[in-house]
Amino acid sequence: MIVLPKLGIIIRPDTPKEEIARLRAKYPEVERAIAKREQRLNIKKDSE
Amino acid sequence: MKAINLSQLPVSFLREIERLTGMKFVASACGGISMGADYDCEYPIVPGVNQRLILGNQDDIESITYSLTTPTLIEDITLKVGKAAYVFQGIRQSLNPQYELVAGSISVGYMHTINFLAFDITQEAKDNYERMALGKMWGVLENKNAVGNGNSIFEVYGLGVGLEASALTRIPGDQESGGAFTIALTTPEAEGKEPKMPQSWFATDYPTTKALVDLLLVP
Repeated sequence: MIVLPKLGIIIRPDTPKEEIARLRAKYPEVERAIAKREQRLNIKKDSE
Repeated sequence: MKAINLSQLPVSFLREIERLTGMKFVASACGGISMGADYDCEYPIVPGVNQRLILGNQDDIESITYSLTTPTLIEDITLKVGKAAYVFQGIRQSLNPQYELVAGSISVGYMHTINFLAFDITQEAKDNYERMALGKMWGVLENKNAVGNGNSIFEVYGLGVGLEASALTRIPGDQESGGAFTIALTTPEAEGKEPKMPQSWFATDYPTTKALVDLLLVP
C-alpha cells in the first residue's frame, strides 16, 4: 500500500491496474513512489 | 454448523466472491486483540535508543509505502524532490523518546514525545531551532538490539499529526545539559492525538532498511 498524504491518494493492493496506470501518468509523485518500490523489490529478487 | 473466520481467507479470494455474487464483505470493528506477546529469552528487549535522531518536516513527505502483509508496517518513506531530513546527533542518554496512550471517553489516541539535546549553538543553528519552533516535524529513531526487536528496529514518530516544539531551552551554565539546547517535540495538544503508536519501519532486513532511512538525508 502506498499513501501520498499531500495528494490524498492511497494505492491499495486491490486498486485496479488501470487506475494505478492513470495515477502514474497524472502524478509524478505516484510514479516516483511506485518506481522506487519496484526497484527495491527487484534488488531483493536479484539478491535471492 | 462450522463457522468460518473470513479474516483468515485471502483478500483476493473474498474479492472474487464479491465479484461473482455481488455481496460486499465489510471489515468488523477495529477493537479486539488478535495475538499474545512473548518474552525473547535469547535476545531480550534492550532499553534505550541509538543516539541519532533523524528529523524531517512534515510538509516534505511525498509518499509512504506500507507492507502488503502487515499494512501498518512502513516499508519506505519518500520525500519530495530536493527535500531532505536531518540528523541531530546525541551522546550518552541525551535522546529520549516516549509514547503513551491518551484514552478519552470516546476517542483513543497516542501522545508522541521526543526529548533531546542539541549541541550546536551557532547562529545558523539558532535560526534553525527558531524555524523548528514554527514548523511541524516527524522523526525516525533506532531502537537498540537489532535482533530482538524484530521489525521494530526503526520507529517513526509524529507521522499522523506531526510533532511540534513544546520546549526549547538553553541554560548556558547548566551542568546536566552541558549548556546545550534542551528540546522537546510533542504531539500538539490543540490538534488532538496521534491515531497510532510510532509505526515500525522495516523492509526485508536491517541493512536494506538502514539504507532507506539514510536515503532521507540525501536531497
